Amino acid sequence: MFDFIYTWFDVETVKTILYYTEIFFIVYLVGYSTFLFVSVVVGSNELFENIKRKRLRNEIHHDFYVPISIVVPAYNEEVTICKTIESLLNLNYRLYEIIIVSDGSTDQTAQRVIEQFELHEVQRPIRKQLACQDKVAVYEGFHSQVKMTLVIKENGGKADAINMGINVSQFPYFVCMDADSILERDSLEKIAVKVLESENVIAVGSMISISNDCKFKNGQLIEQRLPRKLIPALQVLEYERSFLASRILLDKFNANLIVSGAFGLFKKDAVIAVGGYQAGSIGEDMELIVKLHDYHISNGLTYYIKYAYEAVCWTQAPERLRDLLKQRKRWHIGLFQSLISHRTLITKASYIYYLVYELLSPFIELVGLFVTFLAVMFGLLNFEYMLIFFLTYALFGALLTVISYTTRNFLADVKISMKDVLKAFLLCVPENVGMRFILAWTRIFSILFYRGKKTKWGKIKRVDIDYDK
Amino acid sequence: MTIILSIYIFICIMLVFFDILFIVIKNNRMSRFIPKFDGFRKEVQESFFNYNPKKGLNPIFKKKLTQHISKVKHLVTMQSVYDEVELYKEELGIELSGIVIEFIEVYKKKSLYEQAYYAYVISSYEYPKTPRGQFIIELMSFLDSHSLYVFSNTMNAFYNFNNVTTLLNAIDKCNERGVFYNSKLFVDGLLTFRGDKNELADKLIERFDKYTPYMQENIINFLRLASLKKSDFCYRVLVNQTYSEEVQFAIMRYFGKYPNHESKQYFLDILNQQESSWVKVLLSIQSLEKYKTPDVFQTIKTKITDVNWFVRTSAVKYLYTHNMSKEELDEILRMNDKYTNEALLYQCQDDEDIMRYVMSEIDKLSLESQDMIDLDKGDTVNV
Repeated sequence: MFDFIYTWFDVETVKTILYYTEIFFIVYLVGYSTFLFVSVVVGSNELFENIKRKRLRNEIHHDFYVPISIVVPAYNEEVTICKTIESLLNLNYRLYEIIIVSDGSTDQTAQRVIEQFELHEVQRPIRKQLACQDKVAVYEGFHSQVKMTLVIKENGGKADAINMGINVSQFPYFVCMDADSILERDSLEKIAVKVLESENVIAVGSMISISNDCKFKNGQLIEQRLPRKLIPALQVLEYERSFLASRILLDKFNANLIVSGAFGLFKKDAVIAVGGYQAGSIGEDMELIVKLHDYHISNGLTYYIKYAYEAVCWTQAPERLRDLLKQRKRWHIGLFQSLISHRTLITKASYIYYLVYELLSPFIELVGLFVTFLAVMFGLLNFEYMLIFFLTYALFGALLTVISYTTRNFLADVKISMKDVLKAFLLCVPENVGMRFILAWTRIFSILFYRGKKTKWGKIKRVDIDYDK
Repeated sequence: MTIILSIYIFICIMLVFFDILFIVIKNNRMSRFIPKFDGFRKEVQESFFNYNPKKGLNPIFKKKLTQHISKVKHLVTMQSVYDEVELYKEELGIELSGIVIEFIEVYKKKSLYEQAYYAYVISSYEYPKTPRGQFIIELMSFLDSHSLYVFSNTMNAFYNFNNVTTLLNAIDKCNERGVFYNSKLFVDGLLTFRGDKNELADKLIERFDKYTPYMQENIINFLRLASLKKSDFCYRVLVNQTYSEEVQFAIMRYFGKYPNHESKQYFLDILNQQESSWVKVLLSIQSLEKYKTPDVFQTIKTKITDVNWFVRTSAVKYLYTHNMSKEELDEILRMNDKYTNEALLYQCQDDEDIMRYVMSEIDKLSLESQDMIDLDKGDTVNV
């Protein structure tokens, strides 16, 4: 079946290819392993230092932080939107407003919000500092002394909806969050502290945790546990590793290229200066951050994009493999769009990291598979060698995942059961090998079948999580 | 290749091993800062909970305290018990402050975290008499720290001392260093000053020109937020164009809260000048909000079609809240300016009658203008 291979390659060529590929992969994997190792060490160190800082009152405590507008873009979110808003109304924060933007929803999203929170229609003029689709109607109301605004607009995609929210917002800082996410009660305070620590902070990322199977009371977490289902459980381990490890390390160098769309704080002026969210962009959150880096670096402006790992946002992870693949496809295209449109950042170490270990990694792995196949065809594969190499890589990554999971939960004073720790040990290998492999293919296909701009919302089947039980 | 593989495996094992070792060591080192429920804590609790201000602290216990609190974990123990005290807390704090200030030399040599904690402890007590002498000089040197927390806790201590001169010296030092991380920390800090705010304001005004524009702007904000009436001084700064634009804006906001006759004319002049920046025009409209005189009304009316969105909406808001007449309302509607009408509708939405009238007029006028357009189009076709 594959006889044509012998016409393309001879043994000597394959040997040469194999030789250089091996060297490349050793360098590539040692680089990645070292990055993971340094990240986990720096991340753990930071968490220890944070405990020390808090105990020794090395923190800013303030009665009034900066006023914040919370922008919640929503498209067909009738299942979760009201609960999300309820959790926002329970935040421990003095001055904030909530802006819900229904982006041409075809379900009862807007109606549910209007009825439950008794909003009334207003003829509100909106200054379009950022381009976005026109409004259809604006509703306003007050709940627990918090001003709520609902903007119903024509469909234009998530980025477009957030831009509308920014246009409507009245405060100098805004938080952007997903309509299916829940913020911890002190999360706004934790994220706003970063702004008080320096006026040059233009964006702050947060810790995104997976809410599937966790127990909540009045919108607050009371019991955290690993989800029963395999797909969300694997994602918990993946999130823990990524948020504890790489984000804290990159934060030290002001090099984070992602502030999750699920919960992030931004300085409005800075976002307006770069033209806001890019309509048509699939990974609008990453695109914005890359754009902010690009703009501030090219104009020689002092700026910080910080990571507030104590500001926790709970979000639903896809429970079906189909949904997970859909989500990752979007993320990878988003990454591709952002990196391609801001190539000038190529000299930044974090750009190279995202380029090599995120964007190109599935392709590099594909090359690895192809060379392995070649080696098999020519009888040059040393199975024992390959197996040891692969196992070392997998076990190393898996162990770091478990270390990240246990360390973060231990230092954040989160009670996790022994059962969950054992489960984490069992799942860390499939997470590192199985899920990574499947996602690598998805990412390859997402780029190969990329067909330019899309403005559609990503749709994942929502589960009605009861945040009150 | 086997060698390379072996090296790779070795590196991976070492990395994991190091990672685990690092976490274990770090965890053990934490105990340096975490007080345990030991005999010392028990003694502190006994003394603090049974504190009698007439007798003061037991001299033996006091001696023990001075032997212990040079270690931060004991200082943490002492402070955490103090935080739990409910009876005679203030008196106990005064006595403790006398002991703690003796340790500034010790803590000055410690890590930044420990320095910040020491400053925090200092800031937590009441001071009927401000500490003086070497202690203040040493504490002032904490402001040179590059740690935000040492700096901010030390400033909190100065706000708490209720002594204007000491605080002014601290502010001068901040001014020289050009630090304040966030203006909110400075302004809110001044607002928490326990001494005579009026005296503080007068002294700050005396030295106003010595400060950087950043500090000047914050001082004005402090005057405004602390409701200190310093209109004469503010007016002098307002008309003096040598001050930075940000300082001028802060002053304009001040007069928005405390209007005076002189400033009124100044703001009207800004509105009448064609070359005024939109920020100044906007702030002038907001500062004139409390005036309901015809000259102000007529001047602001000219701004309802301004190119700037904020200026336009503020002008419409002013006119609406100052009860414009029906004729004036019609006059605005006849301008047929989409954005002005939008702003007008937003203002009058709580009054159903006016709202209905405005909407019907807008519809009527837009129909008329549509007819005009159709007529123009018809003419064009005919030609």
